[in-house]
Amino acid sequence: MSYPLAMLWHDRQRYVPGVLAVGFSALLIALQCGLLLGLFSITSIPVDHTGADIWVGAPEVLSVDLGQRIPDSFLLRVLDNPNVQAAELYSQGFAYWGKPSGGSELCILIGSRLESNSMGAIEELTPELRERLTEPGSIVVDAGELDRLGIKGVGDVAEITGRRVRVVGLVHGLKSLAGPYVFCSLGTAQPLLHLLPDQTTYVLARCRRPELAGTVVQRLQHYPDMSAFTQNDFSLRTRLHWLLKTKAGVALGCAAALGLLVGAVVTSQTLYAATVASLREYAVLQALGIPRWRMAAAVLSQSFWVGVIGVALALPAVYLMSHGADSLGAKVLLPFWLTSSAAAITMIMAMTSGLAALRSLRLVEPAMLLR
Amino acid sequence: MWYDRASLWGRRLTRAFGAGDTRTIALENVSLEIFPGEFVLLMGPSGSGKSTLLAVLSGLLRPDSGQVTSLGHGIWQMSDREREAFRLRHCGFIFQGYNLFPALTARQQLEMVLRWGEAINGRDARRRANEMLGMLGMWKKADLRPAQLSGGEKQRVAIGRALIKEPDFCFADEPTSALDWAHGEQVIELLRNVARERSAAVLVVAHDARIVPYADRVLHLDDGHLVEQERARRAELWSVS
Repeated sequence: MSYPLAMLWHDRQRYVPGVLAVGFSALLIALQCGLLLGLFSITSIPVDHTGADIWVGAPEVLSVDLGQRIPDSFLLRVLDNPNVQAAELYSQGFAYWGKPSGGSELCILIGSRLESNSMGAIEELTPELRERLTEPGSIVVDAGELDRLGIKGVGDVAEITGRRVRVVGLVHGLKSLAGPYVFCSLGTAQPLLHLLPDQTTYVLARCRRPELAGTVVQRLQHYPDMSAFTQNDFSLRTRLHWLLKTKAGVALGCAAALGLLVGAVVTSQTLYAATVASLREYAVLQALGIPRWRMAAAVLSQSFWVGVIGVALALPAVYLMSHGADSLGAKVLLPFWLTSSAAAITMIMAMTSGLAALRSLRLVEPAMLLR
Repeated sequence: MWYDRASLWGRRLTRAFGAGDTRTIALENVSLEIFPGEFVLLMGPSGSGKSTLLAVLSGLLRPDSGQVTSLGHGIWQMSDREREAFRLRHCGFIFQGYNLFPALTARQQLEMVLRWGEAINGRDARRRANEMLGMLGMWKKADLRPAQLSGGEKQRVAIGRALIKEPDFCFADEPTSALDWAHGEQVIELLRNVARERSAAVLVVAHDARIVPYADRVLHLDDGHLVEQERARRAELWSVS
């Protein structure tokens, strides 16, 4: 065991506040980001719950819900790629929902093919629901959005952009941030979104092998009048757009920075106090000619171990609390990159705290040992 | 003769603390030399400047004026880094408090000096630490921490830490003041043996007159002035050479 680690273990009670501060910071960052990712995963439901490998839309499209009209002839461009197995049209856009009792609500209308091999139909649409949706003017909504839409259930009639629609089924777990999702066929969606017959919002494609999606997207990106993304990239792009658009990222950044600041101050003070407690011992070493950088390295080594122990304690707590949050209905997403980033940021904070604690070594003065 | 060539010279050393009305002169025009293999005892009343003289001679405290020449080098003409390197190579220190790291075993206290100071590998550092602890009669306690050692044992570890580098100079400030005489006498004998067997110059600051018979020379400091030098064991040194 190295000397700094031996000192840390021997005086472990002294280091507990620092370890807890590091752990708290890691926990705060990971959970907050996980909660936010979970929240904003709602925005990319149309991408995540469908089966397309590639999404093609208007140039520089920021988010799946902000798709612009594109010519449906882009379908041929996509199909022209030898690695593309199949492609189809997909319509999505905001529309006004007229409640039966009066008043209106902005909704997100999604029109897709309904066949069993459809890429654009969400996986929650059962064959029975898809069959019902083939009838013009029929729609499916999420059961959790009924109140927001001012309807009671299947069979109710409402209006979208002044046209009559009828609810033929309900899905579950597809609540939205911006406006309730309304699912229908391509044929139903076209007039409700005021699309011309040769217009669509997206072209979806499936590759012969999913791993070819990146290559296909690279080729499609050469067209200046459209943009192309893999499913994962478009999902991430959509979430990030919402994160930045709603300023939630700023709030998250402030909260995380505050957590880091508190962690840094406590950790720094812990290391400072621990070093000050050993000033006389360090002074002897300095009198003996041990270079000051060796003592600085010892303090930094201790800050490293405080960071490692804090993060090691925090990670299981993060997963436990995320399960707890899930059981309360709050979705927490903890991809590997998020937990590893939280761990890395916290480690940097711990090491920075060690650097700040180095000021304590200025107090080391061998002459103070002589009485 | 070997003892005629002083390894440590102090010339017209003056050091004061404070300024204006509160200025106190700790050392005034003190000159002395210490020879290799010599065990020198520095005595005097409290506040007479003993520790200040030790600090100035050992490169820990810069004098206001005067020169210190150590092994032919003017240590106060060196840069801080050069002086640190000089202390690392040539100086060992023993202080009144043991100042041992509570977390480390007796062996680790010694190993640390070698590994951090001279970048010696772990195996060699352990071997040398074991040898030193054996010499100090502490090999059975090598794995004990300071809290498990008596005062005398802790001071022996502190001495081992000072001597593990095999220094040319050993500076000790009140090394026996926290010990009973039985343990204190052991410590003094150890230091005297270091001077004899390793030809190190040993300068000990102490109050205890019982140490005087062990010293080759006794310096008396009073009010910042060197007032008396006794060469108690000079004749014996001749015979040893």
